[in-house]
Amino acid sequence: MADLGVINNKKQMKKKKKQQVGQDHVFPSSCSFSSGIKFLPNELLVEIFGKVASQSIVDLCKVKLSCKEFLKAAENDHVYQRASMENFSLVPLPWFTEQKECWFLKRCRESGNLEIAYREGMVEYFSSGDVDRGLEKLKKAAMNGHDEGKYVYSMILMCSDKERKQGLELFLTLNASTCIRRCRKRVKYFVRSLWLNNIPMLNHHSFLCSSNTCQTSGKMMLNYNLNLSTKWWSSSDQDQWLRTISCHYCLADYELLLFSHIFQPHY
Amino acid sequence: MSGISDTERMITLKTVEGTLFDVKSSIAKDIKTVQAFIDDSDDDVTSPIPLPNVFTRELSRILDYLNNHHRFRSDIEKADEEMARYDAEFAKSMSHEELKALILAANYLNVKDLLEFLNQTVADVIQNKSVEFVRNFFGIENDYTPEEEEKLRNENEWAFNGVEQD
Repeated sequence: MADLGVINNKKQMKKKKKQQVGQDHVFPSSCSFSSGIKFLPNELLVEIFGKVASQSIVDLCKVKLSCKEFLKAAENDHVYQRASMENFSLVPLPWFTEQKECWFLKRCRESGNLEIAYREGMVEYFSSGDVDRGLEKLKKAAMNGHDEGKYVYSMILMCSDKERKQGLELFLTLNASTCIRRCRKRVKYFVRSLWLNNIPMLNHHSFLCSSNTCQTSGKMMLNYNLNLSTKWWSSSDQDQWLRTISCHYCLADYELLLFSHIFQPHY
Repeated sequence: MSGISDTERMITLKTVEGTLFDVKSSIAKDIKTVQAFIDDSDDDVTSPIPLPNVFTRELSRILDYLNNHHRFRSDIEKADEEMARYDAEFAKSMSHEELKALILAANYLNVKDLLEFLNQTVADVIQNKSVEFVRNFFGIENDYTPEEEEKLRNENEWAFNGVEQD
């Protein structure tokens, strides 16, 4: 068998001409299976470094310092788009940032960094009154896979009468419960640092779930009030309880109540 | 559902070593490279599909991953939790070499979710590690001159400073 030759000679991946799958997916000829320099093609390095950057800028810098090829891959727009803004304040204070930092932030912004779009969107939508532009930025973050952006944007859509369905669909793509809890927590933290001018309004007279056969339909408000009054209820208890609810509409109704709670004055 | 899966069509894949794997067509759908091959052939694919860049060890792990994820997705209630547990185990069970080989295989076979997951795993592995660790992990040599490295370190210094202050 011709294919067997390849295992004996792992150094070079050979390509059979006919009857092969995915002709456009072949490795570059310099690719080697042992730990040679070009072991991962550039496109994969860019993907991986995007993940690294979204976790930590420091780790990204270490990647850049490892070799020239990695530096090149790490300079890709995709990486800047996903770079974490963890070490930068939520609402930027220009006079506190160094020049090199500013350059980095500028580059991120120009590459369409999702966290920057999300943050600016939050400030503009909820605080500075530039609602349309803010919503546009939140949408951009959401549609490119920014989790909190998705959370906020889906909630805003579900609050409106016209776009509830779209909002629900977007919300359901976030469905892993741990992810929703994390998003809610981070959004809450952000909102509490804002001077609020635009507070999302819930329509308490029309819930998403209007099914006659759904067992939990119409009970979410009651549960919400009950949970508010029992403060000892831990969030893992709450998750446990939420998991027993099988109706997506009811889950979205409940999440909307929690979302609007974020904006209520706290003591 | 069960009626369909009982008679579900099987597709045979052949690795570099010549090992044959029978795969349900619903699983093959997630392997975009294989699916494209099936879509391109006019008649039913009956002979094994050769995968000239995929080794037996990698293919068996990939199929294991896909089969398990399919199983989890069919049970919505427990899906999140079990999938997270399985993924964590899967990530832990790989050596660095296996991880890299799997990335190449998943990329070649174009299995999107798995590739995302593996890339994330790499990011997790090098998190908070030294530059030297990153070089070792990827099997690369430092090709900067001392001057170049110094310059780059200076340019990136602010990022490291920020961490120390916190």
